[in-house]
Amino acid sequence: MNRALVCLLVLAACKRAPSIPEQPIAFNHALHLTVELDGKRLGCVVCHAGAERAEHAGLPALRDCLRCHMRPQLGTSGKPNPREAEVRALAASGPLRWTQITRNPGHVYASHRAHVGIAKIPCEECHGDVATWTSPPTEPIQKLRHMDACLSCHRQRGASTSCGTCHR
Amino acid sequence: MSIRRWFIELLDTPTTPSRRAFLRGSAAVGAAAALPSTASAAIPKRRRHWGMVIDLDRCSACNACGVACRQENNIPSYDSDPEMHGARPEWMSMLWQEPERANANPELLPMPCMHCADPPCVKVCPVGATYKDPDGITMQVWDRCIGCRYCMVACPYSRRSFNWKEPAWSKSELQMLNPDVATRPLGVVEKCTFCHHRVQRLREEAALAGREPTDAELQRLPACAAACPANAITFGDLDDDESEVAKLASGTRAFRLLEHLGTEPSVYYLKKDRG
Amino acid sequence: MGDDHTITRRLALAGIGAALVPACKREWLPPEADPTSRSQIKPYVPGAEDYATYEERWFASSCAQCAAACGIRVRVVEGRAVRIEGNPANPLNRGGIGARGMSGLQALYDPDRIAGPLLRIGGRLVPISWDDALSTLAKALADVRGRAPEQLLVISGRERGFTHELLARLARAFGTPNFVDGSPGHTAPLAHAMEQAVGVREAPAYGWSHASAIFSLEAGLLEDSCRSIYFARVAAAMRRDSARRARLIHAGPVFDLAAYNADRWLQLRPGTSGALALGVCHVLLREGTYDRGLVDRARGLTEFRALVVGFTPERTAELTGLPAAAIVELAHELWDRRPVLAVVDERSLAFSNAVETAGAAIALSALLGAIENGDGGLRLAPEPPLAPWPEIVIDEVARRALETPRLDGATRAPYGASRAVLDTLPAAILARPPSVALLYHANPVYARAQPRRWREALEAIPLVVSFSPYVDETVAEVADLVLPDHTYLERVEDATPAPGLPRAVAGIRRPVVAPLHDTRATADVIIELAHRLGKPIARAFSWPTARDAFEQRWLGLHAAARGTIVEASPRAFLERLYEAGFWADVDDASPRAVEFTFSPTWAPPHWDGEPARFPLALLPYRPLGYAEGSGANQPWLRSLRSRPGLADWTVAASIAPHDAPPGIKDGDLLRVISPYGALVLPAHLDRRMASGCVAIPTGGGHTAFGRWARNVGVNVMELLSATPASDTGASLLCTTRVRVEAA
Repeated sequence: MNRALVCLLVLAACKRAPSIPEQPIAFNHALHLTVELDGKRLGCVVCHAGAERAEHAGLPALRDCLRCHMRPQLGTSGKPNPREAEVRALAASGPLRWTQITRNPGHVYASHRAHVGIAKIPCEECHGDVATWTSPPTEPIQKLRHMDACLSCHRQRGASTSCGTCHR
Repeated sequence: MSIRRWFIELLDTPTTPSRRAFLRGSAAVGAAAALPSTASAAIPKRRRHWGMVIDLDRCSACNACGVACRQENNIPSYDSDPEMHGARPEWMSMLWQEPERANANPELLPMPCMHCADPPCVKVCPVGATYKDPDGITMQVWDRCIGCRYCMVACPYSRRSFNWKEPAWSKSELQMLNPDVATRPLGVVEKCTFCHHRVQRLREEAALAGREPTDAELQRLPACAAACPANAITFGDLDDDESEVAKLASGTRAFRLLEHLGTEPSVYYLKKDRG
Repeated sequence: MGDDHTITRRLALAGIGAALVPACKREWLPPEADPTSRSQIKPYVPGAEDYATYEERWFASSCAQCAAACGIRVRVVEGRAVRIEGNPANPLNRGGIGARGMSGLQALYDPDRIAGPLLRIGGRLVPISWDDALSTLAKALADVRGRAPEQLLVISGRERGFTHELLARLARAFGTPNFVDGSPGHTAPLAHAMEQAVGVREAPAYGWSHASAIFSLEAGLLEDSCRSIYFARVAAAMRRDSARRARLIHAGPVFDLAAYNADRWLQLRPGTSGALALGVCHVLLREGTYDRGLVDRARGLTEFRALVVGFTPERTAELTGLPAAAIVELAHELWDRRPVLAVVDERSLAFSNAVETAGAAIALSALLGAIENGDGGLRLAPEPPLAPWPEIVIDEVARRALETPRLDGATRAPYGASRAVLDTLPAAILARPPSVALLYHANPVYARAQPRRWREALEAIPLVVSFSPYVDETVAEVADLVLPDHTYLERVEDATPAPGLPRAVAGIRRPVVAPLHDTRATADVIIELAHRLGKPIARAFSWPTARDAFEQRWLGLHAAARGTIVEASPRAFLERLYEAGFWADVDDASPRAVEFTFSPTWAPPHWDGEPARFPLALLPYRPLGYAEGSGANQPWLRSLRSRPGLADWTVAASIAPHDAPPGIKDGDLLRVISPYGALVLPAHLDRRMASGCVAIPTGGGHTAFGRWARNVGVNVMELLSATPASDTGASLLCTTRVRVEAA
């Protein structure tokens, strides 16, 4: 009986998550956040256009990448980055389809407009220190995996905890 | 304490790491420990009493409102099986009512949920899936509903529908679902929400501009009001004396359905002015 | 013992806890695989990659679900159309939209749409490539042209529109006289009556700014008419927004939506509204209360007076079934409330006396001073200043072939005033089958009277080509080649509305999503075909694509330099036109002077079938949401109740209780028998129904058209006598007598 339980424990611990498919472009946030355009750092909304004004921040379409990468961009070393050519290759070969990692259930309404646009919560607070990401995230946002996390913050700030505010 | 109260409190109890960690594993502990910064939420908190006025003199009973509601809220049609008669969900219905007097004409009334100020449905829900939002909307939380249908029995206006079948859309029809409204599974009661998602979006967009929505923006906000070709449906804040709905609701033609029951509906009708 | 159990229990709990931890940690699953997410995962759709995820765009376009062509705005999220709403800027509908308009999404995303060209091989429809399909058709057409160009039959189910005009152009350049406008039943009698009265062959528009009554003469005002959205808006505005609340007076046999909405419902015998109009004219002329300005200058007044003198209130009461006093009262009220919109539409003119009824209604408007009156009444529908296409130059082959008599007998006696006649075609086709038939927006094997005759006739044609995007009955049963059209949300096109507003409006349609399937706009297919056929036909289609052809027309609006879009450069004009979804004049057209001619004729409606064997008049009607009859594949339209008291998703026979067989209760099955067929369907006992009538809605009994069209009722067209109107050759719905039995 005890051995059976031990086996159960071992099996349970061995249970692994399925591997996450790769993104079409291994986007490097850290690198892009060091880039300056007209003396200003690239803001999150340059690519995630809905971050302040829409419900979803959104993942960029290929045209957003091509705004800069249509012509080869030289890095700090002064030499072209071979990985960057992948973007132009993608433009020729086919659609850019991101694998969405974080996706709320359909009945959840978590509006960037309310959190970022109105409450002015900085992106890093929920998404983590994006400036250190050198490759795309491989896990959904852990902080927001459960309703308790949302509720505790809402209660702290005096935001609505009425069911209908977040569920639809 | 009643079982119902206990159940609701269980779901609403503020997070305590010890209890939650046991039930849900370690992840929540980390989440609960992450304290947010001190900026405060800034969505304006003006209290509203959302209401609707339907002018029966203007209404031509064309049912554009009913179809607009279906489109907006992803209401399933199930299939063309004749067995499904009367069992398909419908939120905005055209009620046809034969008159009591022999030679009078029938009445056709578009009927959304009445969003009663004193709703019988909220009183009977054992799990708190339906409740009264502070702004006057009788909300329905799909994921709490256990499908007991007491609320359907309690509603004197029969404005609640049940999902007798699992709604299934073909791959093609999935494309046209409104992304702003969740689909409901088998076993859940659904009803009109005064297009709460649209109200929410409008309030947020107005808040971004530092203001509250204007009455003009509210008047044709729900899908039914927006679609009506005769402009018969008006929406707005009944507590705002300057609003169109408040003015219409206090007119001589205004009446509500089943007023004697004391449900205090938020939907007013304007009598036909047949001369 | 106890310790062992405690340890066991603790280990068990720990084991369960440990087993639960990984599960509760919510490992990442692709959303498609996660059954708890219900996150509305949508399959990939072409064009989605041009959007950022969740990106939303709005497009202005025009509806094509009925001839009204209301302005719409379409919300597209990530390349998927998720909402259609009315365009508030468009003067036709001012933001309102009907059930049919919104159901356009279901027309686009119908799961049973045809995915690409099909060819019938060994009895089955088999997918082929566009190149093969077009070569097959081009070859067949070249062959026909070489032998006898008049052997090409073209049936177009639209009355207006550039695609319809391109088909007509093809027919003419090719050299076939057999171009059949497949919907002559719609406005031909009214257009003809207008031509006789004011010299313009077109249905009238309706001005209402100061009118304080709408007098509906059996019109399906808020249901059937392609102006239902317009009238819903107008009637509402006339009631609440004018100083004097307008009245809606509806004369009709059935308690339909118009009767329900009316301030006064005059129940009269079917097909007698023309007599009622003449009865009112009688009172107006007798009492001298009529608009002298127009009338005293009119032609034919003497003959008209001679006709009307016989329509005393008593005689009119006999003909219509209304009390004589009511007729006099009505005349007084209409005079008092002038100007008045006296409306007749497709439902009023569904009887054999269509032209006479239309003539009487127009004459009544003349007496009431409501013809080309800026305050209200019948208006000559203004046309937007579109540029014309270049004239076609036809060669000798075409010229000779165009002189051969038309198959349908149009323009010759007894259909002298017709442009096309549908109901004579099946017999004519069987007598002399054409070699190729092109069917555009037409499904005669379901939608025409006696569909079985059509099936027989089309089967006799060696090559039947349909452009339908759906597997309708014609495609399923007789089509040999299918070249599926885009739906209207996927193509560029014009949207010329049926007359309604007295203001020129030129709507346009534009793609709001990338084409879902391997379909092509029929206009583009026509141009491609013409190019493949080579000179001289290709010369008449010198544009590379349909869009170029359309833009050539729209540039006429630019040249007019007026209206809602005024731009210096043509490019800028077109950009703004696509963005706005329409061009319109800024104001209603000013009234024009007209010369009026009275046409003094009257006839009662004729019914096919001996009264002794078939005592009841069958009144088929196009129910709410069915406009032209298509839409069976759109379940939202099925949720509409056809009449007050009827259930949704059914087809029932409405009948007065005393006309029903004894013992029949509401919902019991009834057999309805005409000289041409029999149907079994549930009865709807309607105490407000006129005596001696049975009303059955169209749109039921589909045997094809996809999963949503099944299981709903019976097809009333199987009962109908296919007798066209004399003179105009229009197809008529209400010409058949029936009897009923318990089934």
